[in-house]
Amino acid sequence: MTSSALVAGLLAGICVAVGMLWLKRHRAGSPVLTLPRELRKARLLFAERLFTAAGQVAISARVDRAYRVASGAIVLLELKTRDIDRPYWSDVIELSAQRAAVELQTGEMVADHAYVTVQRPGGVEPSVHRVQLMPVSKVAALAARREAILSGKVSPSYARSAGVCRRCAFARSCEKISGKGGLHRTNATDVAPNAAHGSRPRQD
Amino acid sequence: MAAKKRVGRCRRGVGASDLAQMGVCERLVKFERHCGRRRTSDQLQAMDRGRRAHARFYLDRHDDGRSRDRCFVATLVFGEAPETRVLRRFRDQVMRPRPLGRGLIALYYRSGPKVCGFLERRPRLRPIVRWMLSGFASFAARWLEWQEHLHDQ
Repeated sequence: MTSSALVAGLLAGICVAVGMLWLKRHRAGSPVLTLPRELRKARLLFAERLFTAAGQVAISARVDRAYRVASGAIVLLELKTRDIDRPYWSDVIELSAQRAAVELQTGEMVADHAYVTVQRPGGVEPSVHRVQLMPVSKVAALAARREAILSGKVSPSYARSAGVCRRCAFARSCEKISGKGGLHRTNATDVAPNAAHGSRPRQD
Repeated sequence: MAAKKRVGRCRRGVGASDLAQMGVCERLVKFERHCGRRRTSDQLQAMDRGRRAHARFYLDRHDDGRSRDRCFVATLVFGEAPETRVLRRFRDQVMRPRPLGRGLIALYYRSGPKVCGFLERRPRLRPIVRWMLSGFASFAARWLEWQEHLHDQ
């Protein structure tokens, strides 16, 4: 063995040892995600990929991860960081929009369920929740309702959850506009009947 | 990357996260359109935490327990070369039978994807790592030869 190779080997060993120690420390607050059974043997297709689609609904969505499962369908996985370990209705909407964008851009079949992985602070192992997604027609209807709200044709509903209002940067303006502090008065919506951040979506 | 996702994500059509806000509060959607985005300090902290978590999530994308037979860094810098095969043999024949070796392998498979992600983003470092690993591979080859010699005796 040449002396140059010996020096390189020694340096590599030292670098590996230092790197591993650093990573061990660094990883202390980021426990490894355990994938749901369905995705363990699936192939990772996309990670942090942007999809845009114009058609039934003009939509763009960045997908955290998408896997190809044994059946050939694509299953989406979305990461959320929050204190409460549960998926919200907004997660279902976001994943449904992602599904629509992926389906419309690639023409491939995306499963009508997806997974939300919730990472809580404090180094707790992330949990994974399965959620049922909305059909593309409902995503399109929700996008149309949003446009109608923004153009002033439809009056927007309030959040149902008091927690959302407490944390909202517009809370004071909202009370002023509503004129009676009626933060929890809701307007019926046929698109998102449980349209509140704190509401729990249907899970399988 | 995650930051791009959260801030002003789309010019073409509605963004998925903008649409998701309809599930939080429809009034907030209208407020943000008219007054711009406002965030409380808690929300900014949470967003920052989310960005960091997404960056980690992206780097860990291959660390799902299915690539355990791969030698991440060696495959990245050498490809399927003789050095990679030697390192793999060294791992299986020298390290795996020993408890300390198994511990190091486990640690390596947890950190390997991160090291790969780091090297993917810094291609200039790859020749240095290649030089160091080739030195280590020749050391490993000698070790394996010596072991085989002992075994033959």
